Amino acid sequence: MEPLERGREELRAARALLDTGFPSQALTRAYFAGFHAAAAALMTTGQSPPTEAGVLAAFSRQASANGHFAADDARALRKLFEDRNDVDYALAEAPVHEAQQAVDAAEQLVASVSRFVSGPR
Amino acid sequence: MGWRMLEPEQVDLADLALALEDHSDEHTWWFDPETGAVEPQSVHALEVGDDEPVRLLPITPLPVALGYGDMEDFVACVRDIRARDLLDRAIVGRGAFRRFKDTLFDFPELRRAWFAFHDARGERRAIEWLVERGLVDARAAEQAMASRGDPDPAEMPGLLDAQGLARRVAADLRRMYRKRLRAVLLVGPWARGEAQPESAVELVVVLDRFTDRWSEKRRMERVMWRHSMRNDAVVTEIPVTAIEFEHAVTPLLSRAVAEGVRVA
Repeated sequence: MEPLERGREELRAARALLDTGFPSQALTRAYFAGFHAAAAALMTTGQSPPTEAGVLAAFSRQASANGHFAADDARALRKLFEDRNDVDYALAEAPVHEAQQAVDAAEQLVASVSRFVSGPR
Repeated sequence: MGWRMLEPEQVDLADLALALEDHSDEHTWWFDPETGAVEPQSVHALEVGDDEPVRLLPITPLPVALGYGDMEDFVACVRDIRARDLLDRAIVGRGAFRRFKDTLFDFPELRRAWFAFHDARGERRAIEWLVERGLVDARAAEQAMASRGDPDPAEMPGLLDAQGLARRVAADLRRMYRKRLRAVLLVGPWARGEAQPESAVELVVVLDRFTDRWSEKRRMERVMWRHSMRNDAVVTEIPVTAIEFEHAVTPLLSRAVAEGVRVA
């Protein structure tokens, strides 16, 4: 499955989890939606960082240095990564409104990358 | 053996380091324990009966694997993905040292950083060689070694100084929280010495108390983002209360207590 399609699938899973009362799990899936979208965007520019952190760093770099993506997208991805870590470390249960914001941010990120991938470069 | 102890600084450590990595068949290196001089002698000169080497100590080169390990350690710190990929490929197989140096010509700042890194390690090995032969005082050697640590990554282009970055983040958090900030710890791969160049810089932020962890996270978000962007890195934090930290209520906190590097 291509990374962008995987990102869209993770986004659907995040929404489903949020709707069925699993905000922490929804937040984790929202992060992965954003992560796969970022990986898809980087692939379009010929980059395939081998590690998760490498994808995040390269996505930020592209946003800041080349303006390929909005800096807000990179900022949202960092935040999703951090929130997901905190939830996975079992130190933080995500409140519904935080999970909702995470899903919204992931949706924005996937949409932004979809435009980038299909648009002229 | 009958000679007096030398001060490490009496010895040309750079020359001794060079001798210790010289596997040439053309000459051998010798050390004069009285003066601290390091001199090469051609193999031919030794064969014709020059008796001078009698009071000299032969310098046997160290295993090539050490130099190879230095290259690996250096490459692991390079954050520029293209440079790291090229250097990674350069150090595989025969001719690794030559290819590695040739590749560095395309990255002048990294090339300078490599020489600083290489020289520091070489001189430390030279001091160890002197200590093992009882030529320098162990305490003096320890001081000399301490002043020749691996170069500060903050001064090396393309390398991330995670602890320095963590301290700068902590200073910003101190301004934000003042006395409420109890501690900041660098945790995760950078604290364990297992980091890859892009590994996230993970922080545990200990506050005196709070009622809503997510509110504190959002309060710190701007600081984390600013430092991430400035340093081309991913900086994350988890706020915990002093009580949570003291009682290490989760495996993360147990690890943080055990392996975290306190930066504030």
